[in-house]
Amino acid sequence: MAGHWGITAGHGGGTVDARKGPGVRRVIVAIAPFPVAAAVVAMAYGTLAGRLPGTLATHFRADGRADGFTTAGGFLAVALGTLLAFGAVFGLLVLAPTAGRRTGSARRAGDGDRTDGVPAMARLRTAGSFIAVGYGLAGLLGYVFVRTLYANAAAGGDHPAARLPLWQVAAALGVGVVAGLLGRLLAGKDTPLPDGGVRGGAPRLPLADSEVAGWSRTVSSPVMYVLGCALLLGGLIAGPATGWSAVPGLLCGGLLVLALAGLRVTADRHGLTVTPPLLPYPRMRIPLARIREADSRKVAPLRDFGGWGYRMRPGRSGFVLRSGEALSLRLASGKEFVVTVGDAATAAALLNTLVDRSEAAEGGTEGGADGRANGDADSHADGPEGTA
Amino acid sequence: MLVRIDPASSVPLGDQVAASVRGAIADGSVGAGERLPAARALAASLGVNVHTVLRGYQRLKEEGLIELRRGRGAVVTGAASPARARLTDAAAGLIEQARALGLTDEEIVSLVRTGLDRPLGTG
Repeated sequence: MAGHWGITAGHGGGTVDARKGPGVRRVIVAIAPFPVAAAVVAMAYGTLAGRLPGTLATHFRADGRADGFTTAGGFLAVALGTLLAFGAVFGLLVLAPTAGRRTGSARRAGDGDRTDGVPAMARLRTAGSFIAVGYGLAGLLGYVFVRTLYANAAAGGDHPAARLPLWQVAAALGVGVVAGLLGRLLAGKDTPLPDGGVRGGAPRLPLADSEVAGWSRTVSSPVMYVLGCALLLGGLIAGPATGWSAVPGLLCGGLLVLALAGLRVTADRHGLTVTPPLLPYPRMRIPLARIREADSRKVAPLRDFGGWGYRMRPGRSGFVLRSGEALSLRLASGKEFVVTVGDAATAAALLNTLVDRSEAAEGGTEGGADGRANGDADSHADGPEGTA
Repeated sequence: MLVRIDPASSVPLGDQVAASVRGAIADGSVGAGERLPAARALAASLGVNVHTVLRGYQRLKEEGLIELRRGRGAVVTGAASPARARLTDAAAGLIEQARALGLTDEEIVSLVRTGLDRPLGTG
């Protein structure tokens, strides 16, 4: 453990320590569940050692009967090995040096304060959700291993008679979920990236004090229209050949792709709103209070986001329907939200002006910092969270 | 498409909405066949009454710049070219100037008619 701390300290001890490395506490919290689960399995084995046969039933059919067997020592080795291997993987992911993970496309000139690249990767690996997954996994595996030991002990040395009913799977999942929630609690609140960027660099749209403005535009994805139609057509053609079993999947997939193939993007006094082109719902809205700054940039779907549609990447997310011009928001959380849409520069300028205006209004009443914190709290209810 | 209105201005809000859309068509940021935001959505965006936006849309329809269809919303017509939108704007400018000079509506129409009656090239 001490070695790990050393790495973390060196890692985080640079000039911009706050955004480089996860805190020591977080690292410990992140890798702790696996050694703990391994210790629990080892204790259970120690307690039951006298009642366990030399060969254990280790695999069970749906009806609860055993159909796979391993030596007791082998089982213990596999169980502990699996848990510790997972612990090592999680530990490495949390502690791995971030250099070399940069991707050229993500690091644009002057983009050092954006959320892609190094800080985002470091954040992802200590994000609460990531830690929760580790706890869930450790809890689930630990429960299954311990349960298997008890099932064998209950059979009283007659290993083929050991039973593990199917509902134990549900119990294991339940334990995993509870452990995951515990992990999420232990992880605490995700600390937002300190905002190193200077606001004010992006263009503004001159707007008189009494003026109200809104911007709206639709965008559609040729790739997704073609794909959606191809899926629908494929479903209808493949139907007779496959006995219609593949049809519902293809049709649903096709409709889903088509539903996301067009969007209306609106920037106004409410913030940024993304809806289907013809319907007001479902909608995604990012309120002004969550927006730090807006800008327009070029997006390459495959290179930047790994595909088309609603994309989530470490530190950024958004609707990527085509390549080219996109509206890019730097959020108060430090993440980036992107929508590919034409005339994005106008939308960005308008949003910047509106953010200025709402901040000035808040500053007059309750103080800007408070206002921003409130906005952040709102955001968790209805907004996108890129790295979830 | 950017729509900006100024509630403090003496120009009716519906006309301001129409002017914004016309301007967007004139500068080419909205093209033929493009769908305008639903009146309800635009009204919510700007914080004005739906009927205000509908008045603006109605005006654009009368100018031949958009089509209003039930269930399909407002669509920019094929006839709506940037030049056409600019012409409509110029007409609005003419009317505004004439009114500022105290001309009545009839006098403005007759002014235009006089211009039309004059043979080409003599203006």
